[in-house]
Amino acid sequence: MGFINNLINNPRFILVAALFISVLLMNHKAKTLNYQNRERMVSVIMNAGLFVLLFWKFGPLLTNLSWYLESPASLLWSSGSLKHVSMGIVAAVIYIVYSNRKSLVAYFEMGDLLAIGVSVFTFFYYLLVPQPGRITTMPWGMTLEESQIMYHPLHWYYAIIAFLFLIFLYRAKNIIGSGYYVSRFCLVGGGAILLMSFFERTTNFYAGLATSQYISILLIGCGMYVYDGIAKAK
Amino acid sequence: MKKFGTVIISMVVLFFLTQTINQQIKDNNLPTETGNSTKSGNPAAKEEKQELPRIGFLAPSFELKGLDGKSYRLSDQQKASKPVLVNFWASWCEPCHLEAPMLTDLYAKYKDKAEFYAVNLTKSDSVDLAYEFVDQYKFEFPVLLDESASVKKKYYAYSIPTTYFINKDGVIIDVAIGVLPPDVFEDKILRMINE
Repeated sequence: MGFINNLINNPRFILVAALFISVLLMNHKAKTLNYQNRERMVSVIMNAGLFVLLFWKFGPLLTNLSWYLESPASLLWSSGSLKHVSMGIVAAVIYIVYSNRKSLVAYFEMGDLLAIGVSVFTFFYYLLVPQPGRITTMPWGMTLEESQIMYHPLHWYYAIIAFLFLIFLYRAKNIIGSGYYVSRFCLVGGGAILLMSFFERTTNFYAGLATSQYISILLIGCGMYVYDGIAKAK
Repeated sequence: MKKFGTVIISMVVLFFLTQTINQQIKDNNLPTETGNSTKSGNPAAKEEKQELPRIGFLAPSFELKGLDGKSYRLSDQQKASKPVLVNFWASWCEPCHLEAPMLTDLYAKYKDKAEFYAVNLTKSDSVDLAYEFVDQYKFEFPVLLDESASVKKKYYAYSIPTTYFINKDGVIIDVAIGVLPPDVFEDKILRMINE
């Protein structure tokens, strides 16, 4: 039990495994749909992911250079924070924009592939890393330790939605790049985040809304805008 | 253009709808002066009482003897509404040696605003080696001896260094497993103090 709780506090291994499975299944789906640009696009996505990983691991070098010079072994044992991950995401976006600078279609291709990848990741990661939400009296509530108090199993709700959405995605035969997958992902994902935000335990509000709620509304808006696919978005 | 307008209007409607639901949830969970919820049977009050070594829960209480012979209780700091950093370490742990000077510096900087408890895993270490370590890095904050490993078990400190950041209300706001770079460490302490 202690080991499981330790894993929950530090689920890096599950994160890496879920990412690996996501790339595999994303690649598989693209292959079954005979997507021509598959290798190049998967490689761009993986490189972008690598940017985030490198910034997370080595980003602190930029702000703590003297500390790392004094004890180079720190590089092995330390890693960055959300700040460094954010820096990595900015670098990844710049790289993606540079890689796809010649066509709008490429963004939709990437969006469709990422929609599949992120859904797979959400399913595996959230299934294996439970997270308690608000207290509930529902029979499916999760308990922690020996306590009788039951909580909404927030991550399992996400995993169920992701699983149902994955069935929908894997049955769909639309071509990659049509914007079909990414638009549905934005609508379902945004809706799920918004719904789940009401079950979260602790939330900081900015102008009455939590950060996750702003993201969800933005996602829903994007989903609505590209719902009809690339032709209309142009 | 018409579609863009529809999207914007939908987003604005969603914004206000979400804001209203949030307010409704907040009103239902608002604690009274006695610490109970405004509505009888509301579980929010119970939620605040549960002690678990997880983010968002109350930090498990403990009482340990310090290296200086005094007895230290986590609840003492909570009564004083002071944030507490609880760091688990051992003298044989190489990353703990990297982290120790940082703890010394950060304590000197924030000792008025937060308390640091360095919990030595004495069951798998020795008091003599703990003394040497503390002397070497000039720890000025309380060093607690977890001789029975009870606090280690309570906090799941199975890999060290592990650091818990507990705010003034006694709620765990962050957990760090492994060494943190100085700026990340300081950011977390500032969050712990300000939250």
